[in-house]
Amino acid sequence: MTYEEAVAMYPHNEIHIQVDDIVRPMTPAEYEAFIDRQVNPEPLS
Amino acid sequence: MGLNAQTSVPVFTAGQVLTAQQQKEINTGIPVFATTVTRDAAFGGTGEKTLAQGQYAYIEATSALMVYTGSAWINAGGGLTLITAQAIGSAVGSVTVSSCFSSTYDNYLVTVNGGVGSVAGDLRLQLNGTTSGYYYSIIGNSWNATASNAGSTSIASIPYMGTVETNSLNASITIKSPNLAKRTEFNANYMNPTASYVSSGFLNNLTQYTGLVLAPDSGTLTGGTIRVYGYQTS
Repeated sequence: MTYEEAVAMYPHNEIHIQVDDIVRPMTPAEYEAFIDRQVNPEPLS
Repeated sequence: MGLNAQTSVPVFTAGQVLTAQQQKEINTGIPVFATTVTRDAAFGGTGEKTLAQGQYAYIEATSALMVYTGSAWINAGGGLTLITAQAIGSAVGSVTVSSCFSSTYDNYLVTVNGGVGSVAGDLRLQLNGTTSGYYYSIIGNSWNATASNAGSTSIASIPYMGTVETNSLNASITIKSPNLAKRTEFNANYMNPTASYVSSGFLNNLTQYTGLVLAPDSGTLTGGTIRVYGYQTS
């Protein structure tokens, strides 16, 4: 998945982060890390 | 306080005329209390039963059945105690359960059920605040019995701690010693339409953690519940 595809699939205003009962939009830094995880999944072995 | 909760466990003298309330208090089988505070206050006072080994009590606040050993109250309802149940929100990239580990328990069971993922994959786990230094391995078989395995020595989370599908979300994770000043270890299972795996790992530090973070390897989670149970130590 390219960066553009990831952003299109997961728009910033639709992706959230949850801490206990609080669900909030991701900060720009959290969102960039989230998109990076979609584009560059961590190699596992 | 519920209808059957009481604040005293009475004793009586010969020939005493009992009130309806007193008869209710001795007709409950296991006495019901609002909290452990009202339970403790209900024994040993004037006109109250002396607390002794074998006494049971039900606590409304925690839905716990407890028994007195002669020196302490312990949970009597089974080997696991539900610590918290966290509902998962909509389209979340990660879920933090911040206060689920304590000195009360050494080992924990974490279950995840009822939700879905936006894409299929695995569920990854971190102890709250630590984003490196995790070790893991998985050993598995495809459904036609072809062996497969994987592992890594230092990554950002423990992968394969559960299964994320677009129609389901399942995990059952054993976590050992997260709140002790010891290495924390993890065991779980992961399966997909191709294969099934036994997964395990550890975090090689002595940090005492109080919470965890669960996240899908890609995409988001919607719905379902994370439950954290403590293994009773006595």
